[in-house]
Amino acid sequence: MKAIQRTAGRSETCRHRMGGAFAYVMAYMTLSAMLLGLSGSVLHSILRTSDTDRRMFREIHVTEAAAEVLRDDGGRCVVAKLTDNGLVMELADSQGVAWTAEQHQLLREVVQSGQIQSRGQFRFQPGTELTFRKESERLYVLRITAPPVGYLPTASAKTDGVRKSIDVFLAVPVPELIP
Amino acid sequence: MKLRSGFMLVEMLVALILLATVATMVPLLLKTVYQQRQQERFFRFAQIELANIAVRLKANDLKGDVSDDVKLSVWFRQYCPDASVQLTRSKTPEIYEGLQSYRVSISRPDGEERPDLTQALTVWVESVEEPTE
Repeated sequence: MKAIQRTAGRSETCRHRMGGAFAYVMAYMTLSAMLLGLSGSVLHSILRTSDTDRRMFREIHVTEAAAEVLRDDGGRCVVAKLTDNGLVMELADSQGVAWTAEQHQLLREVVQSGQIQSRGQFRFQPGTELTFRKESERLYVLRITAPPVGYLPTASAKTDGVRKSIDVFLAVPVPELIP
Repeated sequence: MKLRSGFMLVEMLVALILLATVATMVPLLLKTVYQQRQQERFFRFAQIELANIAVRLKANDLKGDVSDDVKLSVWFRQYCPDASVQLTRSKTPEIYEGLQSYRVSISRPDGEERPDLTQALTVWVESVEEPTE
């Protein structure tokens, strides 16, 4: 008799415990799903930010490299003149340097006696706008305007939105002061 | 039943403590990463801006008292709106006659109880002879 009672009691307890275990599993699964989802979204944000930063620092690196060469040319040139899409500089040793903005690239061509001696390019990310302007008698500015956030280089790409830019100043000697 | 409810309470407490720890740590870690990136970005942009100021100084583009005239560019303010620039004219040793040195520094606050971030550059400019009467 005692054995029967024990068995019956155990089966009741087991039934209760199984229901409890199901609720536990559901609760844990919900919590785990929430935690995993949250971790996933945070990880995605971090990776996206890293990618944006990596591209931005690459752009800064190209900007710094272009600025160094541009300022060096500016320091050596005798006369500088703005063109439609660039800047032409005449150097003291009958050489000429032409900086041309073509889409998202800056081309630098060294010309001597009408022949191209060397050519280099500084490539920015697609969608970047490059413009030269004269700031004052001795100062020229290269403006590098980044594409808007989320820009994709497709045919129907939108170019509106917030666009940030970087200015690079270069000074040219005053022609009258050159011996 | 008594045993089971006690067990549930312990589990709940452990889970809550773990969640609270994670919830406290994650924003702090994210904030630290964000601040580090902001710092790096500031230093890189400040370097470009300092080079621009140096070019303007050398080209004598800053009229009048350069200490008052020097300002941060509009583009730089887009990236670091809370930054400020300072230009100090330092005393030049006699051996560098004909040259004038300027110390240009750009700084921005870096959170509470932390020193400002500063990037500085010393620029040597040919001193212009002031006309004597």
